[in-house]
Amino acid sequence: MKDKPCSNLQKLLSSGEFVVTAECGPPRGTLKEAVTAKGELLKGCVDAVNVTDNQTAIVRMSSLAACVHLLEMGLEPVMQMVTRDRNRIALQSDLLGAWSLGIRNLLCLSGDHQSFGSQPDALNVFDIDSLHLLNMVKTMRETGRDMSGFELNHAPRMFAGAAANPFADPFEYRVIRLAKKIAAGAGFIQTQCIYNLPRFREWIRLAREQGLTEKTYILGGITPLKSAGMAGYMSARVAGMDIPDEIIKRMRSVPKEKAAEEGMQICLETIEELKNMPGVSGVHIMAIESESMVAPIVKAAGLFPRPAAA
Amino acid sequence: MTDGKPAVSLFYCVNALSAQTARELENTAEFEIRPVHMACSSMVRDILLLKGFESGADLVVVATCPPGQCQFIDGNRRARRRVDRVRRLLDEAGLDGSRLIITDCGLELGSAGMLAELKSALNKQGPGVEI
Amino acid sequence: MIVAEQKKITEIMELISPFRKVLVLGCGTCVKTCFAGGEDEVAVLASLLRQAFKKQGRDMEITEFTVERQCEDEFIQEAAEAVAGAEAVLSLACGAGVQDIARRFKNIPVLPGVNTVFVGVMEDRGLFTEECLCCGDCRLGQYGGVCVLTRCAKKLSNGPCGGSRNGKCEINPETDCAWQLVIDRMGALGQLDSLKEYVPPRDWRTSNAGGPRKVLREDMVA
Repeated sequence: MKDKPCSNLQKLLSSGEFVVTAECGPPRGTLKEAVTAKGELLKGCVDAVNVTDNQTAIVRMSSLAACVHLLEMGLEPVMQMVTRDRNRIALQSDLLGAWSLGIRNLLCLSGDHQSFGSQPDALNVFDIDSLHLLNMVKTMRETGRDMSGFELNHAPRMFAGAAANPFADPFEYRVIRLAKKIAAGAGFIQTQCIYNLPRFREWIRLAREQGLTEKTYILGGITPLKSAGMAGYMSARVAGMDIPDEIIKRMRSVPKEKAAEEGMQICLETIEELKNMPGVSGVHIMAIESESMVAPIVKAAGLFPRPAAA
Repeated sequence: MTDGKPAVSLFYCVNALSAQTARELENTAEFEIRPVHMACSSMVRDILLLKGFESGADLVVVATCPPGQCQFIDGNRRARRRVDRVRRLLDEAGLDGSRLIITDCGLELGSAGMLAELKSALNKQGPGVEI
Repeated sequence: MIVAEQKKITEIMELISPFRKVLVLGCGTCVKTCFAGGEDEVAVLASLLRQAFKKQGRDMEITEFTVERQCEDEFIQEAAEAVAGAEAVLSLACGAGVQDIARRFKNIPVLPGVNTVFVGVMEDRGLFTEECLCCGDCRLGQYGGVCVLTRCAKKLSNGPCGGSRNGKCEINPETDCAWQLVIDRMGALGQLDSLKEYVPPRDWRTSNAGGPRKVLREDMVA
């Protein structure tokens, strides 16, 4: 956190700003417009946009390419990189390419297993894990060397982050894992979407206790619920998701036409809590395929307008 | 078929059929029944059942004691598992697993009831089942 | 042991159908222990094949033989006569055994009758589970005796992913999360603290990724 910020996101965070990031999923095709259209919905109401990397192991336009399309229209991307599909050679290579194209933020992930995706028959890689990737980025930033020790010509100095899931098992290990990711080089953390505030508060408290919130910037994940059905599905089917019964009950207690509104309300209440929670430096709004919801949320949460990009 | 009569290999244990039923079945005129007495019906290893068919049986029958009455505790359950597996293997090989029959009602059925079951099983196969 | 599973009989029949005289060759070690290719399994398969081909009206001679191990020449040679009498060998040994048979009997087609699946253990009666992917650089002590390369679906070295739920892996609710097992085991050993240490990336050169490997005991060479 001490080094000179290399991206707008890093600059804002180090100046104490409560940041807003969102997500953009590239298309299952080649149209630049499919990316820029989403960008238009997000422009002006977020500080940076995550671009997913073959999310849920479904083949999509590469994160790298989609990031470039967003850059060209004036948005700051956070390139997501999973270790499922590429070995250390390809990952380092893409990192160098990304930096040369103007990408400055990176989210390091292992990635969803390919058995979930469009090519379950593919061979996975997992040559390295997300911590190795973080460490690689940190080493390049601090020493200018790649994983083989070679001194790179103008090494990249990416602002790298990782994902954290306060809601997955085993709970007792989650803060240890957070500490490990930070030590490996995670300058920011984006969490899985929050519905269980008490559990999240406990996790943040433990993180604060261990001094971790001094060493990294934590962004709380937010996904607005659109229906009771969505809440039920996510709770039952998505690994690592924790939706308390009270929330599901709330969603079920309103008529169908009002469900999205109720979901938005829950969302805003959560954001309000996060704004006032020590150790939390922003929100990460994941409204995949519902990017039009981001602007209303940001505005209603009193987070609009965003500070101008420096 | 043997002498125009359908051939049946019958594996049974002492609790599955009464001695009288076994005798009557062996002597019946309608089928050529070859009984094999076992200490426990679970001794029906896969190869024994398959050899039954290989040596010409049209039907292979395994008679076990009723559920919960195996004097070796688990034998009848194991017999059922083994029969299920061999049935599956026969079906996969295109050899019609329904020719392998298992029953735990031998004591109830007696020889008349058993013969009726055999006839009904054969009718499902159709005449002249040639393996 | 090496754990294998017999191929579906329809696949086996397709493999051997070009021939008229096939030897089903069993192995008395690993595949016998996992009930895929020992003497008993040879007998069952041979009987099924004979009946199935007869039903198809095909004149097919199926012979049977089993050796102690198909991965050692000393035992393989015992099958020489049986092999000589056949047009093709259907080996029920693991992939290594099939290849060794092919190596020793160069003039006869050797076909695999089982799918070699993994190096594993019999965890429970009739249940075999994968334990080791032969990385060539064993670090099991670091993980309380649980191999994260083999048993974690993502080969994670530094802790579980976000999909671990109730001790189960995200890809299959019946699969244990290897990292839950590691944490439980290390916890019981009072060694949880060592899991805070960063484990660096694997050097995969010792694995099959570095090319097919050899082990040589120079003192034993003829």
